[in-house]
Amino acid sequence: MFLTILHFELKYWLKNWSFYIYLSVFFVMALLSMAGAAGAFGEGTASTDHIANSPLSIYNFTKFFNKFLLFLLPAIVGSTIYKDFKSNFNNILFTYPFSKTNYLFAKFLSSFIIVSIITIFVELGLFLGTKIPTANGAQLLPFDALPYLQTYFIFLIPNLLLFGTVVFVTVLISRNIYVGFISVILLWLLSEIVLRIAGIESLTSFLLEPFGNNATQSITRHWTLSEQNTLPLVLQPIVYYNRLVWLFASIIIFTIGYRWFSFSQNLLH
Amino acid sequence: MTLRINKLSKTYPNGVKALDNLTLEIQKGMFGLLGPNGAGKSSLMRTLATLQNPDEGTIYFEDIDVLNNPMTLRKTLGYLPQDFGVYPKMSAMDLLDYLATLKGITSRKDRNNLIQQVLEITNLYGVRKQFVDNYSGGMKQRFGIAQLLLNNPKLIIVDEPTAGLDPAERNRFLNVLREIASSNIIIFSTHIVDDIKDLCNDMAIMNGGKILKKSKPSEATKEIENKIWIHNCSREKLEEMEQLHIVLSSKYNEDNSINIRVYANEQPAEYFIKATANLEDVYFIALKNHHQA
Ligand SMILES: Nc1ncnc2c1ncn2[C@@H]1O[C@H](COP(=O)(O)OP(=O)(O)OP(=O)(O)O)[C@@H](O)[C@H]1O
Ligand SMILES: [Mg+2]
Repeated sequence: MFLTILHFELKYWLKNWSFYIYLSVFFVMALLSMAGAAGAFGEGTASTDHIANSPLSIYNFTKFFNKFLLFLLPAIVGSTIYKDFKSNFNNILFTYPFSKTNYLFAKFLSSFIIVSIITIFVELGLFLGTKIPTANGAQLLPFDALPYLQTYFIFLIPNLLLFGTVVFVTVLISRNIYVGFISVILLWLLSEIVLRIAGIESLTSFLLEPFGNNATQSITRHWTLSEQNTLPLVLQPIVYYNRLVWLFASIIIFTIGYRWFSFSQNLLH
Repeated sequence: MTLRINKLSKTYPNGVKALDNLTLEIQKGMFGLLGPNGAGKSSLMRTLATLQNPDEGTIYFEDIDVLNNPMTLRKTLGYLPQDFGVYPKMSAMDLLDYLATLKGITSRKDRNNLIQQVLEITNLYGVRKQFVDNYSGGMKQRFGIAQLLLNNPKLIIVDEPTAGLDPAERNRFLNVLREIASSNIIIFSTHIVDDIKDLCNDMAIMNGGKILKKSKPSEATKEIENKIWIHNCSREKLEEMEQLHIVLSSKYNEDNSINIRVYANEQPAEYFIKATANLEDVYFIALKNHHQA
């Protein structure tokens, strides 16, 4: 049953034009950003003393796109669960012989796989942006896969997982897609508040800022330009602790939604 | 094959008591659940279909403890809700294929055979490639039957399926139900007395979350044989008649006079004429008794 639902939902997205639009938009935006930074559109578009594909630069690009990716979550993760309520198909589906575990995990995983695929195209766009023939070779380092992998697996995916579970659970409980949008904004605001109150150089904000950026930048903030251009991303243990804190938070949030949800609950319309 | 509902109660969070210590036993065949709006029919059916839990009571289908083993019941349940939709832009065939897989039919060949079979039973074969969300009301209800048949259910629950259907579609729908009634229990809710008369071999009248009367339609009318009287009176007299007699129903004639049907053991007055008792009388008597109680 798990695989049946997973397969159905994946097929639904792969046959849906909006998936390809999201994917193309992110791919093209990433590609143009990198190409621009590498001087592919002429001198004026980039400061020539910055290396466009240095590990820190790749990190900064993905940090930027991460914020936009958040707004895919209601549209993809939220709507995957919401469409059952919106169409009123749940009145039939919830009497079918599949378990809540299979249902919720398949719904979440399928939509998260779709988000992860779109996210790959951000990295791919950044990479191919360095391959534009008109790019200035002096502003590019030779290809290195590590920063792409680090930004994808240590930052983008865990962050989308956190915000994805928040959207999933709020839509599951409220049966309202807009509450999903609002929850993204609220969590984002919360992270800003944490930074303001705790201060950017505090251990609290290293741990509790949900994107893991503050912990990372506590080191990179002090780099000189040549260090920014050449050094690999230095990820101190605190960055991994931050990721663990929020991974754990994601699991707790999902568990709350899981425990709360039941096929046989009072449907108050 | 028996469905045993015992002392079922349900009060919604807003304070409405939709099921009130309801006890009912249903045997194989077509069972009609008749009741006015708000009687609690859907509440009972959703509870039977494991979509909501009662506050109290038990439900047993054969030896399945429904409330404690909902999954076991679901495997043998077919449910058509009063109000449902489907995913947009999907054809009947594609939807049924998914739903059949969800009902546990893993072999593609079995699925295809089964889907063809249920499409033919429900007369949807010709429109199987159209989107279900573009179906007419009657077609959609028949699709609802097609999906519930996919697991060859032993317990079938259909909640007010004829509401909003035109007479031709209603007949087509009732014929589909007749065709699938064989070795199972079909519970059918409605507020249209004729649906029961045309279809059911057993029935219950429900209101206020209670069963007011349970009997076979033919026996129910037999009980009140010789106790139904009609009289044609003027509009002004209606109120007086209602005070004097148990007026079950009143219908206006073209000349603005009124035909009233009265329930009484003896002829109430010499101007009353004896009428043939019908199921509608049974229904109104049950509701009247309930309101007075
Ligand atoms: N989810 C709910 N929350 C609160 N009250 C409800 C809910 N569902 C039904 N009710 C109330 O419970 C009572 C019984 O409703 P129910 O839908 O079971 O009746 P019904 O016999 O199916 O009526 P109808 O013929 O209109 O479909 C009604 O008063 C209704 O307003
Ligand atoms: Mg109802």
